[in-house]
Amino acid sequence: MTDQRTREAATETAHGSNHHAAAWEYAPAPEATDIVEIAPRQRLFIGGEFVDAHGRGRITSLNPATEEPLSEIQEADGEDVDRAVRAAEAAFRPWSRLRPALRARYVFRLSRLLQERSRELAVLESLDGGKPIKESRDVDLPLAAAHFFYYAGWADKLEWAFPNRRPRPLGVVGQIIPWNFPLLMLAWKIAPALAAGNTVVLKPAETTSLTALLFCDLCRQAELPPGVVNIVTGGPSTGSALVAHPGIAKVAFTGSTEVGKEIQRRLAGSGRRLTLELGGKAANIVFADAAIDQAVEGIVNGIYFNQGHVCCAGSRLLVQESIAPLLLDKLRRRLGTLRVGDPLDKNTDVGAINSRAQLERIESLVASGVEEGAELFQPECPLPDRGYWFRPTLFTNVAQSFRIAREEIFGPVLSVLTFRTPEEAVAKANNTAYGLSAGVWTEKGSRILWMAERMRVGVVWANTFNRFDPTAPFGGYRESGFGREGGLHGLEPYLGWG
Amino acid sequence: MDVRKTYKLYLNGAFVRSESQRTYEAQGMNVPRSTRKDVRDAVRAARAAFAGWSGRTAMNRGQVLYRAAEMLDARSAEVGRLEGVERGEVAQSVEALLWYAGLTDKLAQLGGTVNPVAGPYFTFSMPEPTGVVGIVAPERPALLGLVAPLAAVLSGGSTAVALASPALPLPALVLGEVLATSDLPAGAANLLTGRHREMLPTLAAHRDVNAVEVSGCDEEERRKVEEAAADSVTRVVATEPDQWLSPHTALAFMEVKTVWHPVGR
Amino acid sequence: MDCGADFIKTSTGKVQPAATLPVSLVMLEAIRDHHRETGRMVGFKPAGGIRASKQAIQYLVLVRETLGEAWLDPRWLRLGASSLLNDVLMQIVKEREGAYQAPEYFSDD
Repeated sequence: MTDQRTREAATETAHGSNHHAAAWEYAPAPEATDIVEIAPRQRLFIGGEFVDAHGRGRITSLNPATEEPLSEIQEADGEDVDRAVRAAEAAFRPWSRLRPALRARYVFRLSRLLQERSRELAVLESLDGGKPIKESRDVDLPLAAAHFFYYAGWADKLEWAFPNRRPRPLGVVGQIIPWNFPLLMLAWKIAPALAAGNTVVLKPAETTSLTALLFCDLCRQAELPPGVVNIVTGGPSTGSALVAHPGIAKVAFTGSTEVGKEIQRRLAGSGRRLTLELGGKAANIVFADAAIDQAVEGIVNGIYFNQGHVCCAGSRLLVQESIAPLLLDKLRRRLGTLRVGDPLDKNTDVGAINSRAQLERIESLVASGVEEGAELFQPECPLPDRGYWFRPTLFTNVAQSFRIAREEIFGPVLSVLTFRTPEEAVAKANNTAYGLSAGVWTEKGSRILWMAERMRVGVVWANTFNRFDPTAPFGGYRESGFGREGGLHGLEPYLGWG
Repeated sequence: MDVRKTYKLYLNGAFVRSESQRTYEAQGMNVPRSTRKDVRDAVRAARAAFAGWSGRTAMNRGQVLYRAAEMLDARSAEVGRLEGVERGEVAQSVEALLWYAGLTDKLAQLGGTVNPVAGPYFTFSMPEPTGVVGIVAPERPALLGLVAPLAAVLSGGSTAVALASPALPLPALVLGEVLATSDLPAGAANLLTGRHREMLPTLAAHRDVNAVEVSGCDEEERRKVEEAAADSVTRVVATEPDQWLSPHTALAFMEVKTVWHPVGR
Repeated sequence: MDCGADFIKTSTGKVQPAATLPVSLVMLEAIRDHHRETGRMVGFKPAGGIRASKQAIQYLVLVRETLGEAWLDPRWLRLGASSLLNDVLMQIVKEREGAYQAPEYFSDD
């Protein structure tokens, strides 16, 4: 837990420098954590039971806001993965032959259980991953439950969803998810897989496995048949064993482009199916006629939401030259009102960076920005003494060639560039190997559609940013991966035909 | 005594020899033996043509494919006489062109959705062409095995670089003449003949290729293509003959884009 | 404000709906922009519909977040809410005594 002292330090200095400060500070508003019980040692979930890993590796899961250990997770080795795949194989026949309407009921149950236990899961998510409780409570959990509910409804309508194609499940699906939205990514993976009649072996990220393991308890409460969902924890070697296992019919991966390429290479010639949801370097484009205060909010939401640990984050701000000074002035002021600190505090806007490794990566890329000549701005906000923190950061004077304008930072760091014409904005937006998302802010409808047509990305947010919904397909062009999650399009990768 | 024709590549809308000036003998003719550099030039041409071809209206792409069907049909006797072209193959190829001519303006409705999100937003998803597609045509049927995936790729608005059947390259080269008289913009389809092992590694690893159709590859070739494709997350698609006439084949060479906008006063 | 107004107010408070958070945000942003451009502070008075202490706190937060703490002062911020007073009193007594209050213990005017 964050100690009182840290929390006070964070709130005391977050805001004010004028003489009213003492009178008008917000009191800490910490979410109670007694709703969650965290066992000191976790196990793997295979065949409907928690079992000890054959692998000897152990990983300590930290609270990134305090650096205190939360629990110890086990690192599954090849044998554990094999055991999990076998359990999923054994469960596949009955599960895939279950009357679809009954399969739907199980998935519906999981959705309801996520709603019923949402606060417990939200608190655990924030403890384990460092994201603000405001976000895990209001975004991650409702969306995760909605995802299960949405796909549950498809389970007995597959023939209508894919006419003339005779859909059938694929078998055992191997799924690997990242640490930025642990439970939500689990939902994006498991819900469509189960609805389509597959069984799954899922590996959560090693820094954020706890909500996935708590989800196993929901599977128990849902009386999901053993082996339909299996969770193996561990690091890259566990993921590697899962990808390589011959019993896996399909691999679904969300994570870095680097690892995605490795997986694609590994699966070459195997005939196994693959979907990848990888990195991004989204342009958020603001035209001179945009509703400027809304755009400022959209920019902030685009890059500082979830500490910038978002693959579709609007990390490159493209501003039309004529309004750049005004917009940047407003943006800098707005940054000064962001509260960085205790993820469990209900007033926190920006929580803890997920891990030391990620913090170091952000720091090194920010240093490269300074070195290459960009101008750095960070608001005056003191950070707690312990834990992993990074101030909301804004770079101006950025050239398209700088590393901070090309590489995915995956942190609260915004690079600002300017443009004059719509053509220039499109050219700059598309000048990246990624193609996940983009934002456009203008009051002119025809220009929105013109821009949306030309940006080579899987999601365009017009006059909004970072919106997600189970009915809306999400996924990338080019090196941001292939396949879609969400909507009818998200069901397709989990089905074979004929 | 007949007038002999020199068969040439169809590259960037022109009929050219391989940049290497090399040929090999196939079907009794000297046929261009394309090189890595020809592949490079073809990808460059296809990329340059992409904005124009993908920017055409779906209706217009349909008209062009329909024209290609007309042109092929008009030459069906000549093409049917070529060695290795099977009975009925030309008719089926014409059929495939017609089928995709009629598909272009259906794709958005078959592959697109309006998404009823839980909030005050209008959101829709639509398929868009992926970009430059490499096609590896099978040994046989040399014509239909090329026409079907090529028509699928073109119908969605992508542009193509196709490697013809090495043993039976003439149908592909005649197809080039058909396309050249169909108002297809230069570079939208590029047809190369030669040895796959010389061209395929370059095509598969080319970072500016967005997808590769591998139905003409053997297992080993396919593995190599998939490995090379991973370097730039290139999509690899294998189309079985029973999917030669399917909207999902066209959609396999398309990306889905979701657009959100708030609803308000 | 450009003509020299010292205070702007959501409405008389006698018509419904009167003060709402979204409307107030727009007005506060206008005050903020005016201050940014001219350096002159303008006061704000949301009126009508603010009946509970909790709503009043929401307005205090909105002002603090949009304009800053300098505006959290009677010179720059007034809540036009005659019906609010008793609820504030009830909350003060609750804080003092620890038990939730009933309206009957407080006179209506």
